[in-house]
Amino acid sequence: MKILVIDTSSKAASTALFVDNALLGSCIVNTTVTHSQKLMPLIHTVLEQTQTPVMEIDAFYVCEGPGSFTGVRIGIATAIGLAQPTKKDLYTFSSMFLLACAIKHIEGYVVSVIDAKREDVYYGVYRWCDGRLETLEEGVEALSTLTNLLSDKYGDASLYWVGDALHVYPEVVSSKLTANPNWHVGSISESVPKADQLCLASVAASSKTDVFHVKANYMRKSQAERDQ
Amino acid sequence: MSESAVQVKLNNLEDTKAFVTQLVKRIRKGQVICLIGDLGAGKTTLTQFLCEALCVDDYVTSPTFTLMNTYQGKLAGEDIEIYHFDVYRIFDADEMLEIGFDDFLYGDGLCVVEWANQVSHMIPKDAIWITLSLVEDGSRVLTYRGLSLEGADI
Repeated sequence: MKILVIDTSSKAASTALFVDNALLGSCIVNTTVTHSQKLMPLIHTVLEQTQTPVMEIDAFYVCEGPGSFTGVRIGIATAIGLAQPTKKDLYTFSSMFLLACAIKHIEGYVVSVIDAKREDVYYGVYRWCDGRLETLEEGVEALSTLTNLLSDKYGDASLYWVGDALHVYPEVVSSKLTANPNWHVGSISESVPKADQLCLASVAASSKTDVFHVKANYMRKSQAERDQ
Repeated sequence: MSESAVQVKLNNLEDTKAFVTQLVKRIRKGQVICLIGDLGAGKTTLTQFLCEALCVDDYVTSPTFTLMNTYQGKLAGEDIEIYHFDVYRIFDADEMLEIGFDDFLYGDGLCVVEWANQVSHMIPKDAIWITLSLVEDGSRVLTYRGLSLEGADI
C-alpha cells in the first residue's frame, strides 16, 4: 500500500510517500514562494528519488484546510489531478490535525491553533489513543476565549499547544498560556506542518472521499456568529 | 478604524497628487488602503495617482466587474504587487472569503480597496481609511484615518 500525502495549507508545502505505513521519502519547503510553483517539483522529487512511478500509488491524502485560501485549493486540485486519471482513493485531513500529529508520545491533549486573522484562530483538540490521534473538537474562536473554554472543559489536564497563532498573539500566550502550569507551549518549528508526520491510521479510518466529493474546508464563522 | 480623522481640502488634481506623494512615503508592504466615496468622488483618480507614484506603467481603471486588478510597482526601490479591489457590488462578505480576499489583505502586496465600507469587518485594524466627498464647487474634501501625515506639507 503506497500513500502520497500532500499539504499546502500554510506557507509551507510538504509531501511524503509512505509504503505500508513506513516513511519512504518526504520533502518540505517553508518559503513564501507560491504553492503552484513549489508543489509539483516537490512531488516529482519524492517520487523520483524513491523510484516510485505515480501509477503505483494506491491513495492520496490531502489537507483540506483551513488555512491559506489559494494554498488549500492548489493542494486539493493537485490531489484530484493525480487521483482521477489513476482511479485511486482520496482521503482528507485538517490542517490542525496534521500539526497535532507531530506531537507524539504525549499524555493529555494536543491543541493546535492556526492564525485565522482578526484575532481568531482555527483550533483543534486531539488525544492519542492506541497509536491513533483522535479528534475531540475543531472550530474557530478568538485565542483568549479559547483558552478560557479549554480551561473550563479540561481542568487540570495536560495540554500541549502548537501552531503559528502562538507566535502571532504572544500577549495571549504570556498572559493565559504560560500562566497555567499544566499547559505547554510548542516551538516555532513545531508550528510548521509536515506531511511526513501524518498519522495515517486515523485518516484511513475516518476520512475517505473521492475526486467528485472532496472539498476545501475554510471553516469560517457563520454570518449569524459574526454579527453577534 | 482608529485614531482621529483629519480633513484635507482638495481644490484640483494637483492637490490630490500632492496628498498621494505624502501618502506613498508612509506606506509599507502589506498595507491596506480603503477608499470610500460616491461615484465620481475621485477614488479611482486617487488610485491612479497612487499607482503612478509607485511606478506602475499599466493603465489603471476601476475593477468594478473583475473585482480585482493586479499591477506591478516599486516601493522604495523594491518590487511590490498592487491589488486594486472594487467591492461596490459585494453585499455579502462571504463572497469575498470565497475568492480568497484574506490571502491578499494579509499578504505582502499593497491592497487598495474601493468601497471597503461594504466589507468593513474584514479589513485589518491597521488599514488606512480615506473618504472622499464631492463639494458643490467641484472641489473634494478628503478625510483620512489610520495615517499620520504630521510634518507633511499638504
